[in-house]
Amino acid sequence: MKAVQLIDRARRHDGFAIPAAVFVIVVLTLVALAGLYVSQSNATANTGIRLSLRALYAADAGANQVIGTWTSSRYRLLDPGDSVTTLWRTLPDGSQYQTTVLRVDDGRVDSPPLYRLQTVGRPGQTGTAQRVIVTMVKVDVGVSTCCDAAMKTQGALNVMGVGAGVKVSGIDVPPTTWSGLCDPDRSDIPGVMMRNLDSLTVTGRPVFEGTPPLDQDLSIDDSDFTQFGDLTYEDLTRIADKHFFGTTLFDTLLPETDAEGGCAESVPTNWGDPANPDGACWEYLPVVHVAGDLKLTGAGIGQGVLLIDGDLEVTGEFEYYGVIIVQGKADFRGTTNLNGGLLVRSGISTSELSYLRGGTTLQYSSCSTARALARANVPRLLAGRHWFEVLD
Amino acid sequence: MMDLRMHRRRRGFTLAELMVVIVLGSVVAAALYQVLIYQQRLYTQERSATYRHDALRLANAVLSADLRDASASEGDLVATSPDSLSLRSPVGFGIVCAVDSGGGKLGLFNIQGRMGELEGDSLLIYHPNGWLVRERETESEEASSLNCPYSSGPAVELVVRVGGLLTGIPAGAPVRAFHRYTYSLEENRDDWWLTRSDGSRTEILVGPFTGDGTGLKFAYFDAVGQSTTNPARVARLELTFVAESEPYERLDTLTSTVRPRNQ
Repeated sequence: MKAVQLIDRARRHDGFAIPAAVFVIVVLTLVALAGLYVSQSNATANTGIRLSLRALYAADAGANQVIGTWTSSRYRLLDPGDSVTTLWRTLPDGSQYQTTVLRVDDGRVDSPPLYRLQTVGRPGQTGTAQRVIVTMVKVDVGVSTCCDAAMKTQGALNVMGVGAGVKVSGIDVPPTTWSGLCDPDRSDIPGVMMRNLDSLTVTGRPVFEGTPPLDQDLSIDDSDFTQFGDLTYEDLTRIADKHFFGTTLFDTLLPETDAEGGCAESVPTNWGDPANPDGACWEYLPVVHVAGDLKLTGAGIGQGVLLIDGDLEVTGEFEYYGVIIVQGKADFRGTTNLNGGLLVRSGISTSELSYLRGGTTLQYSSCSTARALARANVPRLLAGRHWFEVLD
Repeated sequence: MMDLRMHRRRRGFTLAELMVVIVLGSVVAAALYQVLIYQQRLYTQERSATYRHDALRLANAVLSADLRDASASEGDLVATSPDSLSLRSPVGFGIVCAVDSGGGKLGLFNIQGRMGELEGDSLLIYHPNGWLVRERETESEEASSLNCPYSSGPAVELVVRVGGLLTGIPAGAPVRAFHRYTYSLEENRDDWWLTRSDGSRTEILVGPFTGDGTGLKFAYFDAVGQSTTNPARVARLELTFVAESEPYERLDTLTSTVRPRNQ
């Protein structure tokens, strides 16, 4: 009976410990939450700044990446007012960018093409920040690179017109397989142009054609082979689609297609298909750079611009449409058919001797040179100011 | 009788019980008060720190944005000193697609910001021979009075009448509108604030910063990292801000480096 009374008493006793404890807990929780909120708002602001900067750097890097891959892209083929937008691309740090390239010039041939690159940068999956920048780009086209002559050189030249014969012609003739595809300038140029014709040795009966067939220009110097209007040789090497280092030897150069029937541009021995206007590689005119000597021993065909830092030696059958620039000396002693223009600097020493022998034909063609050089585009940031941030 | 006595005992508290409750309650209340006071101080400090950090972030963002767009070699940094900087602050952007040289008009698209509407605004226009500085004239023009030369693509959004020669400006030339501002610290109600002044009007941007000469500092470096006093040679700037806050006299410092992109 006593135990029952005690329990009953305890039940009915009105205490305040639990309400007081709950009150204290609530107050402390509110205080802690307030402190957490203040700290978190600061941290959130810092995170926002960090993500925003990351987005800006992504936009910056993206614009540079687009400019760096200009030559191998489709941007150069845009008509004035047309634009192309890249897919969202992810950078190594996970940030992303998307660039819209808009051609903004009016297409006049006497002024370089201008492009507006609007690049949106985002920090990646981790945030919603976004920054937009505009980069203005001017594109120098290498049309002034070539040609004053079918062959221009400042060194000594030995032409051996025996056997299959040698022909150098500055008469503007389009390639025979390009009928209806090109309207040549029909402005003939010299066949061979040298700084000093006394350095020319001729044996046998080679054919020289042009206006005049042989020409001398005492003003020829190194700059004729390294500076082409607004472009330099270095500019051209920088935009090359294919690079080879050291002494490079090819016994085969042939156009190749991939599994889908497209041109397999990544194949090192695919230098385009100038003989087949309907082929997949007809529109592929690569700028090829050899940082050393180049030796062509077998059968090869190609088009575009060929840049050789060292010497060129052709002992096989080589058919090329476009412009060849050799900084060293050249020795054609196989069977060569060049439609376009050849520049041989003999830059190591002006006493260096180049050879035209075997069955070598150097035929100037404004169609070949113009088509090749139109692809040699060098994008440059607009002088003075090229970078603008778009503040929404 | 017995039930009545028990009922009386249940309804009250003894003095000892009351004393225990009062003492315990006082201890709990005092502890809670201490916690609240401490927390309030902490909260105030945190809030002050947040204000200081906000001031630093905002000041840095405003100046960095202006400086990134600047071209020192083209004269955008007008006057440089350790505690102030005058520059051509970008306020708008557009691209020329049509030029009426005789009429002194430019057709623009891709307009962002304002294109020289305010007094003191000027336009920088790309020209192959060098950027032109031009003033916009106030007359408004119909956008349809000029056309972009594109068969498809952008159309003229704005036609502006501009003073001075426009010959040789190509289609596609970018135009940057700018307003010359001087950034420095100015005192207002006993505090020092980052301000932006164009000579006729001064705007208080953010603050407060320390007023002993350390609140805002600019250091200028050329392309090889040497300190320079020549505005045209500046390739990198170092900005230092020191923000302060009441009531605990706390300071926070932010130093950042900005490289103008247009070099």
